[in-house]
Amino acid sequence: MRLLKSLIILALAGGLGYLAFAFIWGFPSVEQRPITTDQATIDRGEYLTALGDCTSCHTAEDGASFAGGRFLETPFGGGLYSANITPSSQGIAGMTSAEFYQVLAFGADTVWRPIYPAMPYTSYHVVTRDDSDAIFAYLMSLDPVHAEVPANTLPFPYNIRLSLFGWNLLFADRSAFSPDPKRSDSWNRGAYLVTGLGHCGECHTPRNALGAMEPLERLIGAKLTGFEAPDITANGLTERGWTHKNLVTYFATGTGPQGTTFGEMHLAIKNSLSKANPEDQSAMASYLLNLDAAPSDVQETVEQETPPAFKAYDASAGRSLYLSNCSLCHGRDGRGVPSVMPALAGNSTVAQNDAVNLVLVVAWGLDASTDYGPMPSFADRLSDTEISDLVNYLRQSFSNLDLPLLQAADVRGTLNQN
Amino acid sequence: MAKLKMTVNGKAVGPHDVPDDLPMVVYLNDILGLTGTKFSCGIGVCRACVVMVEEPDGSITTRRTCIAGATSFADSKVTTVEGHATHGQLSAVQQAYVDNFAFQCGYCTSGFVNAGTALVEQLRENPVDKSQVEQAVQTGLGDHICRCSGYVRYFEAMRDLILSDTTLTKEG
Repeated sequence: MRLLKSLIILALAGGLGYLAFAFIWGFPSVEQRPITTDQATIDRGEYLTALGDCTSCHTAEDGASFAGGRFLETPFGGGLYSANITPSSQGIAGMTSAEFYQVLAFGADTVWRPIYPAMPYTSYHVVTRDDSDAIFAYLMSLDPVHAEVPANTLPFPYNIRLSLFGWNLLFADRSAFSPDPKRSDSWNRGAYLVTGLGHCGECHTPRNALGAMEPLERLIGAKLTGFEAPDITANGLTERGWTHKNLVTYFATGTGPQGTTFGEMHLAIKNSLSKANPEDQSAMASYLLNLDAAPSDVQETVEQETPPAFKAYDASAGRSLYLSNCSLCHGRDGRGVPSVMPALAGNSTVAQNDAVNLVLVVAWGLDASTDYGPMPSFADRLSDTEISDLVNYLRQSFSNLDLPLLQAADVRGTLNQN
Repeated sequence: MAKLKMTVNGKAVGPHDVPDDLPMVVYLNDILGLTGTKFSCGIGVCRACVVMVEEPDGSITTRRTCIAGATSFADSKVTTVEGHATHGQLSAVQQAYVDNFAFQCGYCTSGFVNAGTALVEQLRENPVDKSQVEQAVQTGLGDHICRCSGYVRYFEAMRDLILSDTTLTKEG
């Protein structure tokens, strides 16, 4: 009885202590500022909202823009519905610019309702207050959409919102952006956008068991659900053939010599990166490739007609499968048809080290996008061995990297995990 | 090169020596002389070139022959537009299209005949509620392109045909 009493007192003290911590540390107080309503700020806010790609998560399929309700699956079972961020009573009406900034940068404007880090405040903390205010001005200028957002479906204990302050203490950086004086303005602008509004690391950086980005593995590529977000470190990009010019083209159009966008990245290009102005696209490419300036229009390396054979392996089965199943669209030489069929020669997805995305695209196919027709799925027609033969042929023939050969069991493993 | 044999319209064909990247539509047109399967867009979008394929488990699917090599059909059972009528008698799907004046130039028709027949066979295996028939037709034929705009008539022909055959639907 005494023990029980002690335990209860301990639990109460712990609870009260945690609550006190949440009140004191939960979210920094910030300066109150009136909502800006001038058109220039609203226009700037619209641009920044596009750079932050707010719409991709805050718009449900076939729903009104920014009215929320998009389901975001989590690895914890269940998921979250994005918030309505239009100025309606179900949205952000009544919010101040200070509260908006607190949510954007720190994930909470009240101790009772912190935001889950599916909202990338873990990246947006580098966004300046001025930029946050411009985004807020733009969102508040929209027509209010009266749409209720369904309740989240996260299971216990992940549904205890208050626990997020503990998570934030452990994992959420709060530091503002600090430019590197040794680097160019363009590189720093790129750094600000890639690490902040662009929130590239949220998909491209691996996460730990509690869903936090691993700080030492920034941008090395990661997998949430379905397709893998590839390695976009300067080394990873350069190795797979990306150049500054091609990266800018890819941001602007979703396509280029290194391939075409698919999966979640399609939305990021369509709703965000393609809307960035050429200077910002160039700055992001410079930062990602770790260049201080866009290189002058250098002659692109001429693609080799026959890439070197790295490995002794029997390509005949893979080549027959390629010719029979793929070549009629992608071409005998893998060069595709410009603007119609993506090239496989030099394609960055083909050159990814673990081949996960390549296996998944072959097996599952791809839905039609705004620019390309659908890619058929081959999981029903090709065996694991045939897919591994085909994928090995693609990787040995159409990439200039010495990539590992896959076995049928690797293909099965990838398909079973997805 | 590969030695290719398969069954087309119930008859064994081959073995033929064919290149691995010979499109199936060219194999049908030029080697087998079955010219009813049409080459159109060449990128797997319009579906004029669709044929019916019987899978090893007996189920019926369709495949596009402009983007698939003939060798990928090795040992399959394929039905082209030439394989539907029996003794000069049009199949139910063909007759429905004629009755509804569904096609004009006819270039897309072989694809529609194969897709429509595959849909009927699929519904025979898995009947749908009557209220779902329009959706089933949309799913089965919706990707086929007809430049003469016979869509509504193809659609109505298939819908009426399915609704008139009680084995293809079930009561809700």
